[in-house]
Amino acid sequence: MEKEFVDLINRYRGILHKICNIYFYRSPFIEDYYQEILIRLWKSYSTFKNQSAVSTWIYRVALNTAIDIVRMQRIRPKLIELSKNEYNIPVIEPDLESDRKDKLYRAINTMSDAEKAIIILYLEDYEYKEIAEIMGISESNTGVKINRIKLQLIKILGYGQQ
Amino acid sequence: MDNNELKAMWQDVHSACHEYDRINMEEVKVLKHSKIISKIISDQKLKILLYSIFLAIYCGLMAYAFIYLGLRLSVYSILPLSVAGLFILIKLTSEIYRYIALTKTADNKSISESLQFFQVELNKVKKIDFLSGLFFYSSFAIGTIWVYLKDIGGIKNLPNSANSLPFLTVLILMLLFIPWIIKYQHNQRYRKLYESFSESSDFFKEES
Repeated sequence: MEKEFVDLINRYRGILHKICNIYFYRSPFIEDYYQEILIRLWKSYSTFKNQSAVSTWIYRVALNTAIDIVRMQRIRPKLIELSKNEYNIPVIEPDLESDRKDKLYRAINTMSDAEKAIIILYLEDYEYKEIAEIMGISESNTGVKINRIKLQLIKILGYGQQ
Repeated sequence: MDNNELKAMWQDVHSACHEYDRINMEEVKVLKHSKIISKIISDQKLKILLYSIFLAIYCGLMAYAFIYLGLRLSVYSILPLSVAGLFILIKLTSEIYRYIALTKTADNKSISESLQFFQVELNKVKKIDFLSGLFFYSSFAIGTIWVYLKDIGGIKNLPNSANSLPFLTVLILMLLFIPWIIKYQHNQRYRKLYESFSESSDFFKEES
C-alpha cells in the first residue's frame, strides 16, 4: 500500500506543486503546506475505494486541504508571523525569468478560492465532466464558470502586458 | 491573448517547475500534521487543556468544600460560585467546538460540499458562543435583579441607595447586551472567512 501511494504521488507530484503554488505563491511555508497535503492524502488513501478516478480523488483532497489551510490562516492569522528560521525555509527571490510566472500567479491570486480551483483544473486540460465532479457543480455550470474566469484572467493579463 | 495562449502560458511557466525535494515520505506516513498546522492545532489544544485544568480545580475545590468538609452555604453564597463554574464550562465548550471546526475535514467530498460542511461547523461555533453567552449573562442579570428585589445583604439600605436603581438598570442592560457583542466580535474575528464564504457561495450558484 505504501509503495502504491508513493508511486501515485510521484505520478501526480507536478499537479500537487501547482496547487501549492496557486494557493500559497511565494509563501515561505509552501513546503510545509505541501507536506500537509501529502499527509491528508495518505490519511484518506485507505478510505479511497476507487469510486472515482484516482486523479479526481487526488484533486479533491489536495484542493480541499489547500482551501482548509487558507481558511486556517483566516481563523488564526498569527500563524503567518511564525519565524522563518524555525522552518529553515529560504525565501525565493524574484528573477526576470519568473516574471511571466509571477504575472500569471498574481492574476490567479486575485480570484476566490473556488475560482482558483476551477481554473487550475481547466489549465491542466481536465474535461468539464471531471471538473464538475471535483467541484460539485453541474457540467453546464462548469462551462459557464470557466468561460467567465478565463475572460477575467485574460483581461487581467492583457492589462498586465501593456 | 486567447484561450490557447492562456494554456500555453500555463504549460510554459511550469516547464521548469520548482519541486520540494526535501519532503520525506517516511515523515508523511507518521505525522498527523505538518509543522505549521500542528502549531495551530496544539495552540487550540492548549486552550482546551487550560480551561479543563481550571474546571478540574473548580470541581475539586467544590467537592472538597461541600463533600469533604461538609460546608453548608446559603443559596445567595452558592450563586456566585455557580456563576464562576458555569463561565469556565462555557469557555471550555466553546474552545472544544473551535477545535472541532479546525480539525474536522471533508477531504473526499467535492469542493462545494466541503465548503458547506465547514460553514456549518463555523456557524455551530457562532451559535454555541451566542447561546451560552445569552444563557450566562441573562442568568447573571436575573440573579442581580433577584438580589436587589429580595434586598439581600441590605443592598437597599446602603448609603446613596437612591442612586443604585439607575446604576442597576444600566448594569442589567449591559449584561443583556453582551451576547450581541459576542456575536459581533465573532463576525469581526471571522470577517475574512465569511467574506470568502459569501464569494464562494455566489460562485457555486447555478448559472446558465
